[in-house]
Amino acid sequence: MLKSVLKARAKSFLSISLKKRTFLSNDYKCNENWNSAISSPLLNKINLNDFYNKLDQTHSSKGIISAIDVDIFANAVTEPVHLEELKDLLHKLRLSAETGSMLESTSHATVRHSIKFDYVDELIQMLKDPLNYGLFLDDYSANILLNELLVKKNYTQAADIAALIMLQEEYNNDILCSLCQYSSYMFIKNYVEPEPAVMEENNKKVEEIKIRVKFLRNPYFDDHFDIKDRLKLAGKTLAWISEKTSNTLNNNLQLIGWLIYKKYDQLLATSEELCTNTKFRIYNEVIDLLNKELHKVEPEKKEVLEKCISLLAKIEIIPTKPSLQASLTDNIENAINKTQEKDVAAQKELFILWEKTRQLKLEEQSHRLDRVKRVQIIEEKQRQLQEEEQKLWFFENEEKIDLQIEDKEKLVDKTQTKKKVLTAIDENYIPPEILPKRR
Amino acid sequence: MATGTVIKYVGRTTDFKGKSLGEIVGSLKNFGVGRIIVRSVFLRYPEPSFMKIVKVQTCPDEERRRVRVGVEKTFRGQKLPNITEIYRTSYKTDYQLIPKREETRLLESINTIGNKADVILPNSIEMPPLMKLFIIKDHEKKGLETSKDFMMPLSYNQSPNRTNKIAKANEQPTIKFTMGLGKPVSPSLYDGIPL
Repeated sequence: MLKSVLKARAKSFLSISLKKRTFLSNDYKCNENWNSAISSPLLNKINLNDFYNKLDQTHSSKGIISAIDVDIFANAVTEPVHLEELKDLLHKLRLSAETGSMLESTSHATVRHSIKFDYVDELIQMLKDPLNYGLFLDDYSANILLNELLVKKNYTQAADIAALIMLQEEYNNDILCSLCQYSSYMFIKNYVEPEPAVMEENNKKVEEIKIRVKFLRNPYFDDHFDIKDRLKLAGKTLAWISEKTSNTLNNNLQLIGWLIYKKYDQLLATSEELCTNTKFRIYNEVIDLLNKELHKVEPEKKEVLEKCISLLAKIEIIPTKPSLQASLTDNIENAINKTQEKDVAAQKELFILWEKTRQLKLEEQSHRLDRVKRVQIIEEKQRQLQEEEQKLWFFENEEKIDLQIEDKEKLVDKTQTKKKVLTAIDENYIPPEILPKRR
Repeated sequence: MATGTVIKYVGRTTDFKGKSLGEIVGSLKNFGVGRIIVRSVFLRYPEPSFMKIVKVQTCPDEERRRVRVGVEKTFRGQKLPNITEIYRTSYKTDYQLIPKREETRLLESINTIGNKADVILPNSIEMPPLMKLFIIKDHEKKGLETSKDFMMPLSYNQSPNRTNKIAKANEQPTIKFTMGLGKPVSPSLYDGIPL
């Protein structure tokens, strides 16, 4: 009896120590609803390998690929191999005109399956390249993906995802915003400057390839989609997401954001505004970051930073106990408590809606293909009937046919005589001899 | 020892500043419906000009990929009533996306332009000198009296962006167009010629 109790205790102890810190509960992922959605009769009937080959063939022969086919493929993925094929199909779809009718369920299914089959690195590559793949995160798939990455403490990739969310400028879901803020802050906190790559001596032969384009592009940096520096992106994410609502945590994160994004003028403006707000209190971490940056920054910008620091020095500091990280995690949990049920209900509805849309679009497509086939068959029949008519009505139309034959013969004659004239000229013609000029 | 390759592009130069519509619209969820874009060349005017995307239809890939976009266009502060379609010019790398946080500011900037004095364009203009002489001679030959003043109706190229009013029957235009040469830079060259 004692042994069993000890065993049970040991098990529970192990499970507690192995339990990773996850934010979203399993309920959020709506796994049962999702699994029932993807095991619908429509998707079960398909053999994915044949389906991929067929889609590939249609694309190479006719140059068309349909959005609904790719959607069905994405939802019916059962093995990691299929994810490679899905990537290829998404690329082909993006380069065709059909990309305008791509369904949202395609992106959601791709994200879910990539997480399941550990294809996350490639997934993030695809998400970062919407011009070639057309994958976008919706609120729920983003939450699930961020949760996965934060559980593994992969702050770099989580900050990447947060940056993608910021680029789309849709900050409606509280859980998503709080998770993005947490990811960006943890990335900034644990950021280590990479060593500058050693530039090799360039005395190698440089081969210049010239490519002709219609118009040359002038260099243009739009400071939004063109930012490639992860740290700057994380700063911008923090700044833009925290601008939405004004509370102590958000204001502090805004300050960090503008600082890391290097928009010191905006930082100054925000600090001045916050000074006038009597309820505002500042975290130690923010002041530490400001001071750290002061040492690293160029002398011209130092003035602005020092101004900010002096302004913010007058503000009451929050005691070290609720650290910024802890406040962030509290924020996430509050958001989850507030919005989890709504999100779960919304997801369930979405799955049903997507199922219906898929059916509808599939029917539309099959109707369209049927119609094309029928038109082809009718034209074929018409041709056959015409031939038969010619045969049956031959004797009535004999005179007309004779006239037609005469016309055709005349045409043939003309072309033949032309050739003869040419050859006649050729025989009598002796080309002149060209001797090299002697200077 | 690898040889480095440098790619040099050869082609016509432009003074466009920005990205092509396809790139902007392809990087946004739902193809950017509801977002505001701006064309860099229209920024040269003092009044704000921008376009709000209403409908997007994608087109197949080609060297400079185009996209069919329906926009509500506001040109130089005037909002055009109909939806303009951008297709043939969507390849131009001249478009810029306006972030959502600056949208309200842009939309309100129209209200602060201030009413500039309404310009009324004339609906008739003096005849050219040669035409006048011709008519006088013609009337003499035919024996008609030349009692008219020599004015002829003026027609303008209509376009949705041109919003200046044309004077109707009794209105006084605010600008007058003349057939004269105006004030020449060196009057000595025009001695004795009525301008």
